[in-house]
Amino acid sequence: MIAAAATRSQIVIFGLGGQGILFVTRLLAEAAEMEGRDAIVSETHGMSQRGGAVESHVKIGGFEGPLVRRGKADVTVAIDVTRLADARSFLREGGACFVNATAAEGARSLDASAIARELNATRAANIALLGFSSTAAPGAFPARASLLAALEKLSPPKAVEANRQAFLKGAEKA
Amino acid sequence: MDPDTSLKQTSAPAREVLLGNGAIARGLIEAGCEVATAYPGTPSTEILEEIVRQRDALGAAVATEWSVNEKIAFDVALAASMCGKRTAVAMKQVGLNVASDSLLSAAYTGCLGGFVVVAADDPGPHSSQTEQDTRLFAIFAKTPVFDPSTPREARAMAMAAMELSERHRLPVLLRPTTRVCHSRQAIDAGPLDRRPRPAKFSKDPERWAATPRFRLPLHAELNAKLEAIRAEFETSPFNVEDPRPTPFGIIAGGCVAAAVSDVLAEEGLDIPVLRIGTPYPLPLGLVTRFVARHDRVLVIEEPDAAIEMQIPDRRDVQGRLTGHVPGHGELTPEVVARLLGCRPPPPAPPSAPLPPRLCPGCGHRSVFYELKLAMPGAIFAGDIGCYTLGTNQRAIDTCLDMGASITMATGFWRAHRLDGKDIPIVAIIGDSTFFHSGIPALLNAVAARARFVCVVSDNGIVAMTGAQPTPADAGASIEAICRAVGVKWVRTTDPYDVEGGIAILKEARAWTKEPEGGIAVVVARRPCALYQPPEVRTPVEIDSGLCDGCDYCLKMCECPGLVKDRATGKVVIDHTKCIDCGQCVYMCPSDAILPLKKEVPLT
Repeated sequence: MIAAAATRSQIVIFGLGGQGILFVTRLLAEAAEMEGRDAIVSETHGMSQRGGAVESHVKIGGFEGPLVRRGKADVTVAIDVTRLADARSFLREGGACFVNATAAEGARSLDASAIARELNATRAANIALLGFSSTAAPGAFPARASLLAALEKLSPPKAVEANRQAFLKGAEKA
Repeated sequence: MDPDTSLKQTSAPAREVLLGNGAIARGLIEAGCEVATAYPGTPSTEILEEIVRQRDALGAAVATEWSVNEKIAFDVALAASMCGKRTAVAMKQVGLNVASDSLLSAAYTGCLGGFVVVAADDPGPHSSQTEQDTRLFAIFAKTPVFDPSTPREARAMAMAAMELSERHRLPVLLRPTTRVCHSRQAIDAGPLDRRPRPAKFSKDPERWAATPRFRLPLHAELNAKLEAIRAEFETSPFNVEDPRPTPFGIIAGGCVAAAVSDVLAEEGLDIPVLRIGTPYPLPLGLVTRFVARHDRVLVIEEPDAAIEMQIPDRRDVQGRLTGHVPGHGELTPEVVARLLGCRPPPPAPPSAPLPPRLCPGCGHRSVFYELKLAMPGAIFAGDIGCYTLGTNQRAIDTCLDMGASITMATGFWRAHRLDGKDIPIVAIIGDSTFFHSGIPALLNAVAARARFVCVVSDNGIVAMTGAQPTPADAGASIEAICRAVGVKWVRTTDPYDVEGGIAILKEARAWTKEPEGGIAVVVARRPCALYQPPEVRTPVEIDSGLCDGCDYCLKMCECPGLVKDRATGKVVIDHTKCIDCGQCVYMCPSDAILPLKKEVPLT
C-alpha cells in the first residue's frame, strides 16, 4: 500500500479521441471519491472525440473550477506521443510528465501500447500508463488500492482482468 | 416516445460521482419532474440520457422523449406543465433559437406545474456554430435564469428553478456552460419529491389561447412576476457577496466564478467577489451596493456581458463592454489569471492539433467520394452533423445551421437560374437533421420548383452526439416523406456500392435537367460504423510497388486508417485504425490498394 497522497493535486491527461482519456478521468474521479477526497474533473466531448485532440483535467482536493491552468499541473500524462509538447507545457516547475513512447525528452516514457499488445488488449494502453505514472508519482494520484477498486467498478466486466493486468504491468516498470 | 413510467423501487446511492449533466438530471428528478424532453446537442445531450438512467435506478416515474426538434420538445414539456405536471426540456444553446418562438410566447402565458428549460451554452465554441449567451436570451424572452458554476450547484439550481417556476407559474431557464455540463463531481442526493400531480388541464382561453387583446394584461402580469422574482433574488443563496470595502472588487458568474475562485486561492490574492448565480432578473440592490463599496469593479462572465449591461451605473465598472475582458472566446483560468495581472503561463506549444475526422468505415466518406466523382464542380451545401467533416474531403462548401443544406441549395439554384445558368447543386443532410428541419425545407424547394440533388446520408441514428434514436425507429420513412412532399425522383443507395452510387448520382443530376424534372433525392443508407460495423469484412493491403505516393487516397478518402510512410513517401494501412471496410480500394488511381483475398505480392 502506498502512503496517503498530498492533499491537493492537479493532473492533465492528453491524447486523441478513442484512446480512453475519458475513462481514465472517470477512474481518477471515482478513486478520489473512494478516499473521501473532493475531486472535480473536466472532459472533452462532441466533435473532438472523432479522432481529434482530447484532454482531460483532474483536480483533487478543494478546487472549484474543473480546468487546470497551463503551468500549474503536478503531473501530466500523454497517452499519445504527439501530445507530448502540450503535456510538458502544462507542467508546473518540478512537476512530472509521463508519455506513452519508447523514449522521450523531458518526460518519463513507457511503451504502454506494447504492454497493451502483449496483453492482447490494445485499448488498455491508457491503463498501463496510469499504472506507471501513479506508481512513479504517488503523491499526485489516489492510492493504488483506490485506483484498482475504481478500475474494477468502472471497467466493463469483460475488460476488468485485462485492465488490472495492464495497470500492474505498467506499475512494475515505474 | 418512451412509455416506460413504471414505478419500480430500487436502491440508488445517496452520493454518486456524476457528470454536470447527470447532476442536472438528478436535481430535476429530485424536484419531481415527470415529463422530460430533449433534442440531442453537445454539450447538453447527457441530461436526458442521465434522466433515463437515474429514473430507472431511483424508481422514479419520468416520461422521457427524444423529440424531433427543440421547438417540439419545448411545446411537449410546456403542455404537460399546463396540466400540472412538473416538466423539463433540455437542449444546446442554438437549440433555443429553434425553440425561441415558443419560449417568448410561453413567458406571457406562463405554465402551471414547474417547467425548467435547460439551454447549455458553449463558450469557446467547442461544438457549436456560435458563442451566443442564453442569459441574453433570458433578458429578451423575459424569463428568469439560473447560471451554475459547478455540477453540485447545477443540481441545486435545477431544483430551485423548478420550485420558482411552479410558484410563479413561469418557465425558468437553467444555463450551464460546457465546463459545467462536462465536468464530473461527487453529488449528494436528497429524497425525491413524490407528491402526486395528476394531469388536469383547466380550460382558460384568456390565458392558454390568449389573443393580442389578452396578451396585454399577460405582459403586465409577466412584468410583475419578474419584479417579484428580482426581489427574491436579492437574498438568493446562489448570489454570494464578500462585503469588505476595498479599492478593487470582482463580480463573477457561472463557471467563470469557479475559475476566479481557484486563481485567487492559487495566487494568494485577497479580492472581494460578488458571485451571481441568478443573472436575470439581476438583483440590482445587491449589485449596486457591491459596486458602491469599490473604486473599481471588474465583471468576469461568459460568453457575453449579460450581468455587466444590466448594472445601472457603470462608471466604476469594467468588463466586456469596456474592452477589459476579451469579447470572444472562453474565459479559461489562463485568461482569468491574465485579467488579474498574474504572471503569464508558459507559452502553448506551436502544435497544430489534429482536426476531427470521419471514423474509419463511415458511410458518409463514401457518399462524399461518390459525389465528387459524379458531380465535379458542384456547390455542396452541407448541414449539421458528423458529415460536416466532409469539409476534410473538400465536399462541403457551406454549413449554416440545422436544415440549411436544403434551404441554401434552393437559394443557390435561385441565384443561378436568374442568370440563366444551370450548375450542379447538391444538398447533403443527415437523417436526424432531415427529420429535425429538413422536411419543411424540402417541401419549400418542391413548391419553388427548384432543381437540385438532395442526398440524405442516413446512418440510422444521431451519431455525433452518441447514437440517440430517430423517428425512423417508430417507422418514419425518409423516402415516403420525400414522395409525400412532392419529390418525383427518389432512389436509395448503399454508400459502400461506390460504382452504383456514382451512377445513381449522375442519374439524379440528369433528372434535375429534364423538362419535367426537379428535385432528385438520393437516400444513401448505411448504419453508423461506430455502432454497427460493416457485416462484410474486406481487409486490404497496399502494394508498395504500385503505390506511387500521389496522395490521392489521403485527399479523397481521408481515412484515419491511411497514413503516409515518411521514409518511403508511400501510403500504408494503419491496421490499428482500419476496420476492413474495403472502401479505399475504389479510391486509388494506381489500383495499389488491394483486398487481401487477392494475392498481394510482397516486396
